[in-house]
Amino acid sequence: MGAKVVTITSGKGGVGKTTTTANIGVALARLGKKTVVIDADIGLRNLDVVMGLENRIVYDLVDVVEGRCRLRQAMIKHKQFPDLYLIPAAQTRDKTAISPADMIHITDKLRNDFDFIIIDSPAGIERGFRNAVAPADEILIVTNPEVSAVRDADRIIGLIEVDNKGPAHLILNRLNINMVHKGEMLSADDVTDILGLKVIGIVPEDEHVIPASNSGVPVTLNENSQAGVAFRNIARRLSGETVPLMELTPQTDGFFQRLAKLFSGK
Amino acid sequence: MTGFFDRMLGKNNNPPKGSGATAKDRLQMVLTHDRIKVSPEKMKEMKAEIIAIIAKYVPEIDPDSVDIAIEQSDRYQNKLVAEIPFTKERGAAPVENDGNDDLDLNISGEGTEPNLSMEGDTELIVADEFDMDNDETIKHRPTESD
Repeated sequence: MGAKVVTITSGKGGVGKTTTTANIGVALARLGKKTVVIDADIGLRNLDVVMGLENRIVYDLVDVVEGRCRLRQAMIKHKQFPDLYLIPAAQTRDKTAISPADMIHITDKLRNDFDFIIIDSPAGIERGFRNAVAPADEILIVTNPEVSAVRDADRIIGLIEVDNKGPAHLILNRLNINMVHKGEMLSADDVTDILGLKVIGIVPEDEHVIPASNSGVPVTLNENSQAGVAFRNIARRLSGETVPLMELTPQTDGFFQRLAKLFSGK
Repeated sequence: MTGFFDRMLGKNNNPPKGSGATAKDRLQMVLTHDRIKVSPEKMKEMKAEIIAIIAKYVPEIDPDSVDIAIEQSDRYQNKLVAEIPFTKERGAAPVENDGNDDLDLNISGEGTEPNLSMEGDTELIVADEFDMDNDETIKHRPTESD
């Protein structure tokens, strides 16, 4: 049984594709799935640093494509999770160094040895994006509850459909439930109404995420993080488990709220 | 008294329409145009051309009250909906449009005069020619002239 190739894309930059890829990769490995994550952002290598593997790079994806090394030599094995590998991006500026056919060739070589191949797509809609989605069996679109992110996600959905690669699933990242409750942010329902996609995960805004990436320890490993729970749930859903969406409740922790809680015995 | 505590607890029984709702409205509008690849400027040009063509056949058309817009119920269901009122002869009875695809002739309506003028009849016949087969996309409501 071959691997499932999952591409994480978004259109808009900065919405959390790399964080999502890193965390889903780690979460899948924790579930015992043999997983390889590929950084397809040629020229802007960052999946390695988010995963804490930046010091272990010897070869990268372009080296493989241009024949300077074998595929196995570019694969970095995670020390904590032996089931998890990373193929880093190059730091070269030449976006044409890799073609969609190259990506398909590489994933085909990996399919027999892995359960999941997760590809971190660059932002945008040009060559890098097309490279990343070419081999995909499934596409996950990451977006934020914010106008420009949703607009770009919609464009991506259109492009994917033209290539018959749909339907994609949605990961709504950085949802701030307090702001939604106050009417100051698009809700998950708003975003799914607008985009017409099924949701595979909703990741709440979480201040644990930046410290996690500061240390190179994906937030999935932090048991106290709601974002971590969300990423672990996404991994479980990808593995075929049915997991209900996390309930996100607004935090009301002002003085009078605490007083009320005291009197109501909660 | 409970109102005081409710406010302290941050309960809001009449939440104002926040920026989140505005965002949703704006997104739906902008995505409708993005998806069919007709920008608002192009819509304006198309509207002006449509009005010019109809005006060749129906000079009574009132360009300022013409409304042409895209209705999109989801990504795949698009409708161009046009409302093209044209003015009636002064003193003629308004004809009720019952929404059907036939000539709406108010022959014995109470309190209204039957419309016997040549122009009126011509209008009604011409109007019928503009009913398109698909979805009645062009609706026309004769308006009362001032």
